This record gives sequence, C-alpha cells and structure tokens, in this order.
Amino acid sequence: MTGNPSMKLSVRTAFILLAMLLFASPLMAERNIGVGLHLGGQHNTGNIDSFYQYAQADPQNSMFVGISFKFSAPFAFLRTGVDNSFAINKGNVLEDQSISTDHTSEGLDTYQLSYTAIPVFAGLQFPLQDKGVFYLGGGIAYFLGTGEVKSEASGTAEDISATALAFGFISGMQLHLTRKISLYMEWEYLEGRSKPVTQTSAAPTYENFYVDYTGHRLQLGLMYFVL
Amino acid sequence: MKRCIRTTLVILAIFIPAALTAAPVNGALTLHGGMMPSLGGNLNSYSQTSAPINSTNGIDTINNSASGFDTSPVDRLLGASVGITFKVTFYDYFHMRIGGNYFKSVYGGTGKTVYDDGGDRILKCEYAMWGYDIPVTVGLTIPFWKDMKISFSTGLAYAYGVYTNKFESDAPLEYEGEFKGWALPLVIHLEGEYFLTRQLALFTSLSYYNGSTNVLADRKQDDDAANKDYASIDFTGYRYNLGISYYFKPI
Repeated sequence: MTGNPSMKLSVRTAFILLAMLLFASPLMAERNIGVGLHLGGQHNTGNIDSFYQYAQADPQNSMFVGISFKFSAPFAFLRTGVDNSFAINKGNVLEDQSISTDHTSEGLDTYQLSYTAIPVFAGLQFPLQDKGVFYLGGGIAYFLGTGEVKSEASGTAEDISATALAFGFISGMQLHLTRKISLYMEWEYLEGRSKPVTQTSAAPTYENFYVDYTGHRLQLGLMYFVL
Repeated sequence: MKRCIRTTLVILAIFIPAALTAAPVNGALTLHGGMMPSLGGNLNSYSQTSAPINSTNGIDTINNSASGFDTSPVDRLLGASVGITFKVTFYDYFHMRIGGNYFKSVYGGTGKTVYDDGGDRILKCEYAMWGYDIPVTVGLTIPFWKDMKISFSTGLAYAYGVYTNKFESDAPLEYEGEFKGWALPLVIHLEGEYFLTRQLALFTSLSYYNGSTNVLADRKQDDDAANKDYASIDFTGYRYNLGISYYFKPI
C-alpha cells in the first residue's frame, strides 16, 4: 500500500514538531513519569462498624501490594495504579448487638475480604527543591472484591464478590534518593460501598450485607522515574 | 485585681494592634471548589430505624435486595462545594483565615430497596443535603523560598445544613422529612499554595470537620404526629479543595 507523498511529509513534519515540543516542554524535565512499587496496610477492612454500629468486633486487617503510575508537571500530578489486598486476619464479630426488631436471627460470625483497587487521583504537588515532593489530590477508585462471610443464619461460609465506586483523596511525599529513584509514602482515604451481596438474617430473607471499602490506607514504596 | 486586669487589657489593646501594624502583614483571597465524600454521614433518622423500614444505620443499612425485585443501591451522598477564603499572614509564619463555603449533594442518595411489611415491598428512597459554613482557623505557615507555602491550622466553623429525606412505597407508606440546623464543628485544615507569580498561587487543601447538630424535629408542615421524624445533621467528614489565591502584596 502506497500513500500520498505530501501526506507522508505532513505526518513526518507533525511528528518532528511534536517531538520538539515534547523536548521543549517541562514534561521532559526530570521525574515527570514514574512507576512505583509499594507495600501498604489497612485496619478494619470492610469497615464493619458501618453495618453493625454497636458491634463488639475484632476487625480484619489487610496488607496490600501495588503498582503506581505518576505523571507530574511542575505543579500538578495525576496518580493511578493497581492495588491488590490480602487479609492478615479474619474479621470476627463477637457480638453484633443488633437493635433491629424484626430480624429474628441477624448476625455475622466471621468475614474475610480481599480486593483489587484501581484509583485515579489528581491534584497539586509541591517540589521541595531537589530533595523531594509533597502532593495532595482528590479522586476516585474502582474496587473489585471477593471474600467469604459466615453468618449465624446459615451457619456456613459463603463466597461473595462485590464491586464499588469510591471517592476520596491522597496525600503523599516523595524523598528523592537518586536522580531516578524516590522513596514515597502515601495516605489514601476512600469512601465506597457495594450493593448488598448476601443475607445475614434468617427472616426476612433479603440480601442485606454489603462490602464497605471505606477506610484509610498507608503505603510505602519506591518509584523509578522513566522520564 | 480588677484594676490590674483592666490595665493589662488596655495595654494589650494598644500594643497588639500597634505590633500588628508594624508587623509584616499580608492578605490573600482564595476562590476554591471541591468535593466532600460521604456528605451528612449515614443520614440516620428515627423513621428509618423504626418499623417497618428497620434500617439500623440509616443509608448504610437501608439497602436490601431480593430476587424478583427491581432494587438499586442507595449510595452515601457525594457533595460538591464552592467557597471563598480570606487569609491574613503575620511575619510570614503565622496566619488566620476566615471563609465561606456553600455545599450541596450531587451524587448518590436515591435508589430502591425492599422491606418487610407483612409482605415484601419496594421502597423508594431519596436523600439530599445542602448548606453553608463559615470556618475560622489559626495556624502556622512554612514558606519555601518564593515558590510555595504549606500551612496548617485549626479552629471552628459555623455550619448550617438542610437535610431532606423521602421514603415511599405502595403499602401505602410515605415519610418525608426536612431538618434544618446549625452546629460548630471542629476544623483541621492543611493547605498548599504554589506561586505562579509573586501574587498569584494555585491552591489545594484538605480539611476535616467534626461535629453535628442536636437532634432536630422534622420541619415538614404537612406531617401528622405519627409521621414526625427526628434526626441530627452530621457535618463530620473530609473536604478536598482546589483553587486560586491572590495575595494583596507580593510575597
């Protein structure tokens, strides 16, 4: 297949101009595109207090590993990535103290959740000379979770899966170790709940238990700057 | 003793303004907009916790689903806010800020659930909230050369909110509530400014409010005593903002 020579020339010129613009722009300055690997933790995964406000529970703790991608201009950033969580311990509801009047046998015994989160945050960042960067942004995250819950009603463990959209913010700091590598620490807070996925009462027989992804997440990692 | 206190107050009244006049003072005006996840918290009220709805934790536990019923989840409210803040800095490192914010729920709060009223019935739910607040905080600022400032402050806000809810089914059942009230939530505020020029800066902030009103009675005039609802308005939560600041004097 042959193309129009003038068309080819125009495309080539456009590419050269684009490349020149890219080189001239701040995007080509150091530490503008980074890929990070981090390890994090979350307390009270599943935020059981929102379902059982007065419960006496030993909540689930999780750790997660994640990959992050950060695109930075001099004063703005876009941060995305993927996080995968693993349960450190099962959540255990010792006494749900449900105040519902017509749920005859409401109660959750144990639960264990793991999830994949895809967050996207954007905001402002504050470069601290050549030492590091402080950043603060808002955004959303999509959660895909799976788990196992055991209720008093059924007496058996049941597999569940649930998705949810969450809203929140990120606050983080990077400490530059070398020209290409930075240590980073981040605090994420996200609010999001799934639709009901399983029942915890013998009557009425409704699915009423939802997965609550709300919570604080702290993570520490290393970022390699491609550009 | 009284004379001593009076003398001290007079001396302070003379010297503090004099010191501030002599101090390097700068003022800044910031326009900002932002988001408020989980506006109003779980929006619980008496009519939701009582039979036949029986939701123990408001919007969080109102969601039920069952096969054969066309339900859709009722999500917590996401709020959007716009505001203006006036900030005075003293000696570059200290500041006081007063602002005004208007906020409104823009996402979530509507959906359909199923409840037990002797038989299974669909319940349509609607939650909404709007309001305004006037935060006053004092704190510290760390300027980083002429490029940026990072500030931290704490204080109080006067917050006024209007929370409405509506529950409808073909039982027939209809509860409609409107709650209006104010509170003085505690405020923790972190902000950063990136200076584009010596007077103009990009602004971002993260605030945490903690406080709610007393329990309020439903203000809907057409409700009879049996339908009277009670709730408090919860202002607790995080707020993320982006905006632009203008300093009256070059930094």
